Amino acid sequence: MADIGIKISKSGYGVDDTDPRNFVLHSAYSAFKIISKGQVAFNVVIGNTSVTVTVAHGQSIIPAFWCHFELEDGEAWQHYHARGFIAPTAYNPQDPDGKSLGCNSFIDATNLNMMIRISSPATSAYTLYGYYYILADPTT
Amino acid sequence: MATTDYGLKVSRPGYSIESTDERELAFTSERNVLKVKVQGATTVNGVSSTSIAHGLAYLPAFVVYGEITAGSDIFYAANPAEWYAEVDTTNLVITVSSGAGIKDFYYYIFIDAGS
Repeated sequence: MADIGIKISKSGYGVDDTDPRNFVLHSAYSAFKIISKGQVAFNVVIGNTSVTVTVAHGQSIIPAFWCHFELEDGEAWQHYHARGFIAPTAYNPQDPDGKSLGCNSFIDATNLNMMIRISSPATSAYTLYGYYYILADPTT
Repeated sequence: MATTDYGLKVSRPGYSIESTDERELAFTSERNVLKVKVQGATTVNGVSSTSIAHGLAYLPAFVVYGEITAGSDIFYAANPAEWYAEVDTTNLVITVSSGAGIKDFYYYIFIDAGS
């Protein structure tokens, strides 16, 4: 029987609504499922122009993922999924060298790889942080 | 029960359904969930584009994973130096701006609006 499932409408909408945007859950449509999540630290040492952290995902497929990087500080943390070099703001305790920072991430059959890049060799040691979600859903 | 006090909550193992910390819930109908309208694999050969019709009359949210180099099986969620993705009211368009070979991509287009 194909006509089975679960639907939960958003507040103010009926469960018989025909627009799936009006549902918080609709089993006719898949949703991302989180396998693991965590924080990683990028320990920058003098001379580094990049730091890569790998996280083994332990999946038999190459899974989808989501990453955020804390590269800058202002009134609140600013998170980036990926970006090219951007000059630091005036107040940036996460980058005491005052160099431009970039970040990116990719996944392969074994690991999620998260990297930060520094526009020129670091002249002091400091730590940046990243956050990741590894999903059950595939990339291939 | 007030008419607005309804829904579904599923707590994560080890946590109570009475928890007030939403991070301890696997699902709560008080929060929307990104719902996948369509997902699939595609390729782009060299510097060119491919379009995927999403069948929605608005700009949907999306995410694309693409190979860093053709045949590498190493996937980025963003690589603006070599490829990018954009959506209009008809298509998701994946464009490779540099690099040779056939690159694999995998996309998710969501029911939920991207703007």
